[in-house]
Amino acid sequence: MPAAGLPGAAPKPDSERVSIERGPPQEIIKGARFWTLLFLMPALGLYGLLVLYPIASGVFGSFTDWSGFGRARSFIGLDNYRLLLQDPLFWSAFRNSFYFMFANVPARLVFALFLAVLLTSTTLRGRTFFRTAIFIPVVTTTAIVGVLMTFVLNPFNGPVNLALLRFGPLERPIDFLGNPDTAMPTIVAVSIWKWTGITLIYWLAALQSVPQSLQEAALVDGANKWQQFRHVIAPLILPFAVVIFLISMINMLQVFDLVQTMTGGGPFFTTEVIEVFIYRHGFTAVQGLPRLGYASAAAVAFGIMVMGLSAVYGIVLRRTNERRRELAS
Amino acid sequence: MAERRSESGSSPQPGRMSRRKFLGVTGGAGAGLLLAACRSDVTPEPGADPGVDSPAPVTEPVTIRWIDAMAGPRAYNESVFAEFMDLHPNVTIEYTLVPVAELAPSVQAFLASDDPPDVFAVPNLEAAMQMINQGVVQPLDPYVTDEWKQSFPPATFVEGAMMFGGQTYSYPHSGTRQCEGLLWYNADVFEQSDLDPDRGPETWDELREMSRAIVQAGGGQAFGMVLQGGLPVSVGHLAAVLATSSGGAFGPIGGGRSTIGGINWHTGEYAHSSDRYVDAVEFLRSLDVDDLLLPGWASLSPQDGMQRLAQGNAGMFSWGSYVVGQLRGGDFPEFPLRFSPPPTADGTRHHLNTDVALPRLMFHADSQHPEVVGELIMFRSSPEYFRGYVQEVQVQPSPMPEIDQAADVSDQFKAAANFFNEWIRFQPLAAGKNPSVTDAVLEMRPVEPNFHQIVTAAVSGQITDVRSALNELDGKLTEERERAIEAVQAQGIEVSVDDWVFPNWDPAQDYDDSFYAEL
Repeated sequence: MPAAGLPGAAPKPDSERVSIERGPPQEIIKGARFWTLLFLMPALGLYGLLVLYPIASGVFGSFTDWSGFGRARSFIGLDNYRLLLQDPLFWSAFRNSFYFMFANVPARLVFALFLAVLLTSTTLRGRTFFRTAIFIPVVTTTAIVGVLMTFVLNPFNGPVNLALLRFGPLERPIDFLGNPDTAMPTIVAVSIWKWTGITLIYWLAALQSVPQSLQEAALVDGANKWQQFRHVIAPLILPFAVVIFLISMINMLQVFDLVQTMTGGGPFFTTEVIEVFIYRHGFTAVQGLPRLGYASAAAVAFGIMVMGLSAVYGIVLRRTNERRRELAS
Repeated sequence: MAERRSESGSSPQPGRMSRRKFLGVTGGAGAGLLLAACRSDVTPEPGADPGVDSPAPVTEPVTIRWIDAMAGPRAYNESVFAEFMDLHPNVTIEYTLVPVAELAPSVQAFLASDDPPDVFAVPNLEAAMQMINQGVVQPLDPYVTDEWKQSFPPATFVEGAMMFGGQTYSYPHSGTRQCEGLLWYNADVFEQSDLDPDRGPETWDELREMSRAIVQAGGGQAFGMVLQGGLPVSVGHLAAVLATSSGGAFGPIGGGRSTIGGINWHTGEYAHSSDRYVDAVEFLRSLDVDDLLLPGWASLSPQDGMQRLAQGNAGMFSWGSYVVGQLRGGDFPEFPLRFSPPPTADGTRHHLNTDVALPRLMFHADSQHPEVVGELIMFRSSPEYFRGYVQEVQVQPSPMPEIDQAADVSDQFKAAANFFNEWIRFQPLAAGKNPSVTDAVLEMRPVEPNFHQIVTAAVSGQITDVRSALNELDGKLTEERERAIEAVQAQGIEVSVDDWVFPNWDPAQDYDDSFYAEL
């Protein structure tokens, strides 16, 4: 007969049996679920009312011709989508949105990471002050920032142009927001200034998750600061980079107030992003009637594209998490 | 919408009674009407005889909600509403002014609610048409008097504009015979540039030379002209006014909406690409190329432009008569403002053409107190009201030219009003020829970029071939109109491109009933 513990061995006597704690009775489990759902109901209700219902309403509206002046709307099937796909200004706004995002997010990620690494240095004095100063633009109202920037960047007596004319190589002022070549880069720059603070916070949290022991081990092995970062810190914060990029990407694809206040989508649609395109079609009457149905179709179409991108990044995130676990083990 | 044209009464004589006495008379009449209404707790159906089947009295206070979107007249309108409330103590008026740019979303929001206002402004003619079609608004006729309608000049209540299906849906809130694209200048800047402070440019070349003189004398702090590219419709209007004043162009200067404007009324064709339009745009572009325009104009609002004019950073500015009232009412430095008629290409002036009075303030179909609203509308659009409006606000002329001429206003406002009366004529209205045009107009989708956007982009240099761009615009508009007409015809409605053709149109005359009758 095999020894105790092996397959086929004799059963243990009752005195040696380990009593197995069974879980709570089914009635208690059901009761817990009931109370859990009950306490979740308010949040679910608000989510349904404020998120799901507007989305469903928007999707339904995208199949209608509706100005919003009155409740009557006519069902027109896929006409809005057909017109949208043929609308060069929709594609222009689509391109502008992705240009804005790709010009903004990577630069902001790198810049904020650089600042985060500096601010984690124990030798830097005034870290709290710098952290606060970098974060202050985040809490300012974006629309107010946009309006103020139109004055700051004004080619006629705006302080930036005055400084460039006096101390720089310029002989004539730059119309930052009125020139199609400079308008979008200018908005991107303002956006980076505005939102670097929040990305900095994300990075600081990520850097704090790197085990100190690994960095000390690298130091003992003779690694310098760059090598520590390159071979120890960077691989471990890579999953955070993916998450931060995803969050920042979605935020920047939804930019509206900054563009609307700085340029209104001009000059001549060169800075018109999707949100401004949607607003112009859905809520203005410059060209006759507003077109809420058409605007809804644009929102749905763009939303589907963004969801597709998010799905791709979800896959990338999963793989980087796996790699992080491998590195940490 | 079967009725074709309306009749209009004779022009009113200027009132001689004092404001208080007039208010007392109308207040007494209004009180009588209100008392009749208060004898009923059921609002009579529109068109019903209010004296029949008098129900129980209303004992609760009446609140009227009035939403408008206009800069300038807030304080004056508040005082007028306060006077009405003094005459009718049981009436409370909630008056709200929203920014013009926010009118469309505001209208969408309150029409979606269950508590719409009694009277509200509509963004444009298409919005008014749709609301009438959907029964969102109701006609004024059961609640206003014929005498009130006849106090307005002829061609005020026109089918397809203020009237639909023979019923009146709106009334003028200001004079219709007006335009943007006027030229205003700072006499001090002119003087500092060795220019005659009492004489503005009469030709395009003079405007260019005067601008050059201002720039040369300005030392980098003053430029010839400031445009407000942040509002493309203003730049488009300026180009249209310069073109039409110089003859050879046909198109609206009042509306400018791409779905119903920019038409050569002799042929019914879209005419944005006509020579004079192209010349006007290229002229404005040349000012920008020569650095005669204030830098950064492409993103300025009209208020910014007025600020620059007032501060002496620009010698000239173009907008409507609003400039006078807004400079008086806003936080601008004092300066000698002067009016100058829009310069022409060669010194020969031609008439400008604009739409007849278009609906703006409309009456919600679910209003609980239509009789009170009717009384309030008549109170707030009497000759006395407009006299005070012109004198105290000086933003737009009144619908009654004799009031503008007799009003105690600034010389500059009077000069602008006189210019309007002398040089602006009403153009034909396709819906006036065939009311079913309304259905085709509502079917039309906007074409982008529109005329104003193209003009602004061309003046700033983003569009280098403006003729091609405007040609393309005319082509797209033609195509879209044809599509809309076919769609409407498929529903059995009789509309054709011929409805936009008015071979007897004379740009130097108002297109009134007699011309429609000749067709």
